[in-house]
Amino acid sequence: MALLVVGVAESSAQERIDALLNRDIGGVVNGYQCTKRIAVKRDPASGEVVKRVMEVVINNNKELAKQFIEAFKLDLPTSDVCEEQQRGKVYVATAVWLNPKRVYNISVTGSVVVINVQTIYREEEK
Amino acid sequence: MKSRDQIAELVEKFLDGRTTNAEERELYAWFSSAEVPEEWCDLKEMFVWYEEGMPEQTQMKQAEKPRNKRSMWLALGSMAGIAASVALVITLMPSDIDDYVDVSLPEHNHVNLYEGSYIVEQGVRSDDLAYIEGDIEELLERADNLEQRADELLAWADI
Repeated sequence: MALLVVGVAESSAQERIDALLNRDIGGVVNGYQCTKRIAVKRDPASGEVVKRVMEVVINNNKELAKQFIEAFKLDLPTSDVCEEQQRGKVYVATAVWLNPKRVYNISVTGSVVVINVQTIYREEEK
Repeated sequence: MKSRDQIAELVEKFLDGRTTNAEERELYAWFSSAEVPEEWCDLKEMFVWYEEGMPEQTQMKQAEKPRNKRSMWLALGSMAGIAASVALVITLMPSDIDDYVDVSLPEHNHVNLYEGSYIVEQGVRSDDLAYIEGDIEELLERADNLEQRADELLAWADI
């Protein structure tokens, strides 16, 4: 059991969350509604990718919501900084990994899950 | 303070088009002073004209000048006319010039800021950027807000 804990601590970044996100979770064929949006933002001058954002919205799937919460809880300790809130049926967490900067955010309200993942390859001028 | 010989060198350099901006400013300043020798009055007039941003009325003065003026000075007079014409055209142009002049980059230089974006909704993928652009911009806005929150967390953690 202790080894397992060490293993978790040394797991690479957000691998559990990514594993869930990379599953084919889209479509009504699985009995729930899902929308996946991928936004790529490029530098207007060079065309290089500055930021990549993935947002997954899942409705009516309590099981998947539970799996995502578990994945976040397990992966959060590997992050550089994170915050987590749970109030009744609402769970919200944000975690940041650096090099490159990755921001993972999850918001679960009952059976509705919204996950926003972004990788910032290059800081933009604000 | 530069000597007269140094100024003469700078003037030659200027007429050859080899002066730096700093050197030109130096010439303008020197010829603006009251100590300009009488034989350099024409040059003074030219440099003052430059310093004042080449006003249109100088074109009239140039026509009255003796024929042995430096060819450069004459050429500059012509340039003033051209500049005045350009200024007039710009003045007469409507303020919404973009409607009349195509200022876009050539097609091969065009970068679509969102190239590679797509949406999968109920199993149906759409990557028509013209159609999904609004969604993509909203998503990026939400992402910016989350990034801002992430930056706050990083600042608090002093990372």
